[in-house]
Amino acid sequence: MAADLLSGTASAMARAVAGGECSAVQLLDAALTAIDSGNQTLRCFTDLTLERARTEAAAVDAARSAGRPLGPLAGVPYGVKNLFDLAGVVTRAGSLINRDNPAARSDAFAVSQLVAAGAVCVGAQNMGEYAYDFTGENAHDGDCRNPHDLAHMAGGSSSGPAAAVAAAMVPFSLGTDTNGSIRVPSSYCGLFGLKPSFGRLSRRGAFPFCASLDHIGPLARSVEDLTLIYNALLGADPLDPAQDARPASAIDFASLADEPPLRIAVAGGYFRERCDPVALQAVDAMARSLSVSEQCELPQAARARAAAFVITASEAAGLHLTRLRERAADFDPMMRDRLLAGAMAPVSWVMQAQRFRRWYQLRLAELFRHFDVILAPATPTTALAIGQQTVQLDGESVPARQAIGPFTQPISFAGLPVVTVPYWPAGSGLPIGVQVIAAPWREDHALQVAQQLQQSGVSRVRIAKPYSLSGSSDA
Amino acid sequence: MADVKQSFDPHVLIAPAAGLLELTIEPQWENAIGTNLAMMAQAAALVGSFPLPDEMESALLFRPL
Repeated sequence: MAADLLSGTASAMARAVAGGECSAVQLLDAALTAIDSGNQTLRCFTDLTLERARTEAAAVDAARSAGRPLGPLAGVPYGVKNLFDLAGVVTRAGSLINRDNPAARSDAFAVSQLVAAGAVCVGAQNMGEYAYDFTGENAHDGDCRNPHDLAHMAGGSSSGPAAAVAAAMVPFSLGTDTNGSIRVPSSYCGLFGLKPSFGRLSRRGAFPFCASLDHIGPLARSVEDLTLIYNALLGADPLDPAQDARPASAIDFASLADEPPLRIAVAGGYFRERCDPVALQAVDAMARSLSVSEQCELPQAARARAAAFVITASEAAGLHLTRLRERAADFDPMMRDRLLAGAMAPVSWVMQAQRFRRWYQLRLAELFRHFDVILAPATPTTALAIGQQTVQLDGESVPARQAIGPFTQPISFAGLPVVTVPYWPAGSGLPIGVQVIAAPWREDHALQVAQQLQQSGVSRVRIAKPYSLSGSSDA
Repeated sequence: MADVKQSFDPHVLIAPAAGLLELTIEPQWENAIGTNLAMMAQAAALVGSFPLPDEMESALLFRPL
């Protein structure tokens, strides 16, 4: 029973626990068995919090036995990208250097919210070093592999969080997204992922990458799960200086289907160039399913990506400057060289990029007066092969690492909420994602359209099993 | 992306910038740092070539507590 549930959704697990069909301890045991069997191959988890998980699961079961009310995620096992603080665990942030830090004294704000919702934390997950990564490769903890095809990347930087959900180890994970780090691995591993509006959810206790652009959010197997987890993560945190002060209401998933239709367009121009035909096939399939025929243009998207690149490199370099001075040789070489270059960038480049960001924000606000939701590819291709150096796009050879995030960067640069929805091209062994992009603060619109796509069947999650080349099955 | 002036050689910047920032750069790292600096210069040139009105403020914001 518990093992079967582990391939399903978090919502179904919470219902099973609340209904007494399965205990939280049984679910935890099933999750630990799955992790034990697949982690050596996939490298999803870097730290297991066994004692904590057993305590949390037992508390849920005790509360149910005593007839006390249960939280909305009671008994549901999950993992967090290893940049989130977990009390008693060293927050490694994908690095070697941070392992010398003392263990975190308390949980990250988001983890505390999940504790309050009754979820059971089983551990911390692999990621690209300091989140500066789209591949899921990690020089210190090993490369996280795509459970649908082990020769391919899981995508990064939330690689472990994505692979663990796709491989049925846990039904959801907590990740972060600065330039695409939830949306890229969601696309590569075929999951639903939510990057909320910039400033919506507290980032306190999540090791930073680039404060101007950092977001947190969930990766899961259904839109209902994303909504449930998002609601649990909501909460005012006066200690996060980036959190927006406007009140945020929980989203009623059941009523999304009754909301009036939204004005939807497909992103044209930049978002239909330099990508594999399969990326456009995915977007067009979603558009057909929604009877969308209109296209729109996000102005200066290429410049937005360039500006995000400049801000990211220089801001991250500022964050790591002391470590670059004292322990440069201990960085993953790919990260170190980018950070050193970022440290040397003139400030005027960064200030111009930040001024351009204001201009871009104002233009997109005009665009959202005409549309509620915009569809765009999440990645230009399905998951690249691990170690792949170049990719052919529109007849041009492009360095692989530059061919992963071109469609996510211009969206997070504007702080827009996005749900990535998975698509399985006919006959393909690998999925690809589509971004469902809404106006700032309208997570409900992105979730509403994502739910329509899931309900129609055009978007669905498949569970990889069992991390061999034996294929995948619907969740 | 916009072209950066041909005269720009990122490698010329590395040693003086490293000195200013008190960074130690191993010789075998220089090529990759130069490549990354050149990419940043291309991106910055693309952004910088876009005309913005003087009153367009930075998206950085500070709120007094």
